[in-house]
Amino acid sequence: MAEELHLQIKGLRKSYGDFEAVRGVDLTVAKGEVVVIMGPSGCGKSTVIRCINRLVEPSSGEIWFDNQPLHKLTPNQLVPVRRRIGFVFQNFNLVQRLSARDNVLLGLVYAGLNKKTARRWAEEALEKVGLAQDADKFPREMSGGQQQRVGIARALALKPELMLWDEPTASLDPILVREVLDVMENLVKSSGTTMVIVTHEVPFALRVADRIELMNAGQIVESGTPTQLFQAPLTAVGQKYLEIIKAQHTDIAEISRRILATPRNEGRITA
Amino acid sequence: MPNPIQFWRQDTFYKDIIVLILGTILVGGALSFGLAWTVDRYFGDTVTGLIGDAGQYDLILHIREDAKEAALIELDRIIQENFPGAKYVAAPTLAGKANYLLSLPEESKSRKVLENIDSYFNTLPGWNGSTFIIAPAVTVRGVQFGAKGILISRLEELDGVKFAFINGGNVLAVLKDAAQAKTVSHQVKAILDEYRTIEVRFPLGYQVDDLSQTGSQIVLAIQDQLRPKLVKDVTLSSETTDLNAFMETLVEMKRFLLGYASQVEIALESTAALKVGEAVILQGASPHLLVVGDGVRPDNLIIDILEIQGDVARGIITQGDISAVDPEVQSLAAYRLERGTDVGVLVGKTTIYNQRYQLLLAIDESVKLLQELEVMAEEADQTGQDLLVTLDAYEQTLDQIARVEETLRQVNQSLDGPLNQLNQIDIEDVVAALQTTSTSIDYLLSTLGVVNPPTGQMADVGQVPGGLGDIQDQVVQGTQDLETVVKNINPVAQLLRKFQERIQTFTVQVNNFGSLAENSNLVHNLLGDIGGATSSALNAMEAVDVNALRSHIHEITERLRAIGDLDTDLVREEMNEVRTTLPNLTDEEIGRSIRLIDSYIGGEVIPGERVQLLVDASVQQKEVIPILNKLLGSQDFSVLEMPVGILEPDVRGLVFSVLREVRSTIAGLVAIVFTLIVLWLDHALLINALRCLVPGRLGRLRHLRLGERFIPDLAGIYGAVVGGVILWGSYTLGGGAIPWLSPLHILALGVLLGLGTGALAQRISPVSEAELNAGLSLGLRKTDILREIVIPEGRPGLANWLNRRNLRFMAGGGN
Repeated sequence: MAEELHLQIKGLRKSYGDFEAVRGVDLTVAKGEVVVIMGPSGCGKSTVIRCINRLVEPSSGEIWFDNQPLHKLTPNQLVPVRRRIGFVFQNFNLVQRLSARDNVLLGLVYAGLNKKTARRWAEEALEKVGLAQDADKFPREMSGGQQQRVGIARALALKPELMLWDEPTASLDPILVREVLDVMENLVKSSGTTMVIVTHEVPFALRVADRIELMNAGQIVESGTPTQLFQAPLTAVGQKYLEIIKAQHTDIAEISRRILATPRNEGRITA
Repeated sequence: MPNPIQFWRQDTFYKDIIVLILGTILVGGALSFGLAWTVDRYFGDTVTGLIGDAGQYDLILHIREDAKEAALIELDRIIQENFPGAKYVAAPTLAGKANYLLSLPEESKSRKVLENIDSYFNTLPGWNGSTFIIAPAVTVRGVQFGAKGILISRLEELDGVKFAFINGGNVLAVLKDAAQAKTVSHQVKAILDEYRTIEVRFPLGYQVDDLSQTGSQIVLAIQDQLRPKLVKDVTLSSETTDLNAFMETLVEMKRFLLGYASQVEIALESTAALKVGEAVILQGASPHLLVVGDGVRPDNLIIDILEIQGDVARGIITQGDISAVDPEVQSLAAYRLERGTDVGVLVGKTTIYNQRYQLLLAIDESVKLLQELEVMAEEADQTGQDLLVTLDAYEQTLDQIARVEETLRQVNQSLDGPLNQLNQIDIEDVVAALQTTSTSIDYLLSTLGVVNPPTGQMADVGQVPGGLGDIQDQVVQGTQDLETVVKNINPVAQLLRKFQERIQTFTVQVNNFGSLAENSNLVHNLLGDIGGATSSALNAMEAVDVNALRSHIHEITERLRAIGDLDTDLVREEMNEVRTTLPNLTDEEIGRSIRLIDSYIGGEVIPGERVQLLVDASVQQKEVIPILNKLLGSQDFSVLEMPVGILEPDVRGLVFSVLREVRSTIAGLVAIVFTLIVLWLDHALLINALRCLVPGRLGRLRHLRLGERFIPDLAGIYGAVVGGVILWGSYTLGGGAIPWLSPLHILALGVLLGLGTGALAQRISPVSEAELNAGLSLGLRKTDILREIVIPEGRPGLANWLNRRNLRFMAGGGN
């Protein structure tokens, strides 16, 4: 595991009026590390991930990316930084008037790449997600899974150093979830890019995560490798996830064995 | 300090917004102006088609549409006779009036002809007047009557004016050249500014004994104290407007009806809290006594209370008529009318005076008197003549008695000598003189018996009011005077009767004498007695001033004769006519009429007498008031200061001025509509985008603690500013001018439209926050997001059109 810190969050807080969605989150992500944030709906996972590239403005706290204090940057200073951070949205967030290719090209063109390079990069990104043939389709002509894959290609095209995934399969029906998860898993395994993924897909998380952060009520309550975390969860949230893992025995039997073989409390942190 | 050139070269969205706003204002201004201009042009051409070009026609003749065929035949004749060379064309018919545009020959355009133009055309069948459209001309409207002469002479002194003439309340100055219109207008305005009219108005009912004298006094007082160059009384009583005359007639009618109505007085109970304006109810012709709580019956009397003084209320009957009420049968107790329908509590006892019945009675009595008057006057005249005859007899008798006295004096002188000097002849002379005197007395008494003063003949005629009452009094006085004359003579007549008896006794005794010598003592005694009686009679008769009586009788008879000369038949006939023409109105009808008149004149200010002064501009209204206060010793008047006239463009100018106003109004309305459309099409989207990209309210405003609910956010303020700027800019550039709305109002309206758009922006033109976040996450600048994502997704508008040059990704076209 790489030890060089790529992303560091300190004391992150976000309030909406009187409601405090995030209550002092600390998180560090090493370069190339894949961190999965899990937790019940409304616990503040998406808020945390959106705060990282300041799609949501934090109320307080610090966000350091590649030794740059993102929390202090002006909107103009944020622009080049965001090009280095890919973001995949839960609802795809495609520009409806543009084709799949143009959606991917959008970031590339405005990043200043010449037309030729931009088109090549876009083609490559679409290729990666298996949509090279559908590049001229418009979002309304595509399935949810395809749209999300365009969203992934769009984020990937800029060759980001950090990928943020905000529940990318939450808006998809179970059949389409598979194709998106396959793409994601391949990317994780092949790219070596630092990733922070918010998801409810437990098997996926167990397969790809270097570390899992469990959140509840705006705070990280448990943290550790999948094995550490699910061998003997200390929190109610952890217990719930363990039950889920046990219920989905078919697919995760091997993972479970791996989890159970891992020595107890290794690298374990708790809130 | 930002460099404008540098700013303009930078590729920022601020620049896009400024370009958009400027472009919008230009387009809005052009659109407003263009549309308004088109409308103006259309109507302008229409008006030119309707009333011709300037100077083409001089007059519009208005004729009733149904009579136009006959009128045209007559018009041809009039033109041929009076205005050879004149031409006319038909103009559109409006509201049942056919209009003809008339062009007069140049030689007919003179003050004399134009001031009397209607007299040439008023024989046209269906004639409905005319309107001057003569051009070039300057019109002074609403010229005060007394100022017309001075104004015309001043206008005709101007270089550019050919002549001036009066047209109703206007004075028109016909110009030599249209190019001089502006110059002359300025000069005319300057002349008008030199004068003003001061009007002193006295309220209705305020009596000014001699308006002319009052006017002169006011002029002198102003001259004395203010020493103006000009102050002239230009009051003309004939200037009363029709409305004033009508209002005065109504007031007079009300006064007449009030005098004619039954006067109702109610002695109020101490507990009655009656107010003016309330009504009371009486039993009236109804056989049923009023009971508290019952409803009003149609034959009850209802009285509206007009006045309350102490414990007496007065009013007029507004339901029923007093003629149907017999106080012996019906109760005169008055009850309050509750809610207009119910009998309320007892408020008092009523007394009703019926003026119109009194009037009818007076007329009847007057007619009766007139019938008697002539006879009475004749009889009185005859009495006078008889009395004059009596006075003649009186004088004869007086002479006769004087002669008897003289005879007796001579006889008595004889008796003073020897008895034999008294002879028989002397005694016989005495007896004869006495017999003659007795005869004269008989005649006198007989004439007195004929005299029969006509007193008491008018006993059947009551006292008649007014002039007839005076005549009646004169006749009665005349007869009384004659009676007095007779009464003066009557005591003398009694004395003469006794004297006559003494004469008879004397004569009998003398005839019984044998000889005088034998009865000398008796003769002495008899002559002494008769002498005494004669002297007494003579003294009594001389005490009456016969000449004075004759003169008095002459005077009385002349007076009575003059009355007798009156044409009583005519007067009687006229009075009968008055009786039959008196309004046959019931109390209810009178009451309702009065209420109707009150409701009509209630809101009207009815001017009374007024004095109008033409003064120079140095005389100020506020200076005049104290002078009048002192002069009139009252403050019961009002002083108005008015211009002598108002300069106005000619009819054509007026029409075109109205058209200009219409154009400006249309331009203003177009600018408002355009601004609203632009705000909805373009800026609602930008407002939404701003809300997403720059969330939060303005901190500084929040610190004011006004309550966030009413504080617009930054995007709302953007909307307000843009709305204000666009509307104000388009409005001004397009030449908009809506009556009663100042540029500040327009700016405020624009701000309101912008705020409204801001409030409804999400409904009008929603922005996809998801796409916006996608742009942000891809590292697009806000400017790029607005250009590439927000605006292309919005409604087609100017922003979208202008943004096309900034787009790198055309829809469907790719990069």
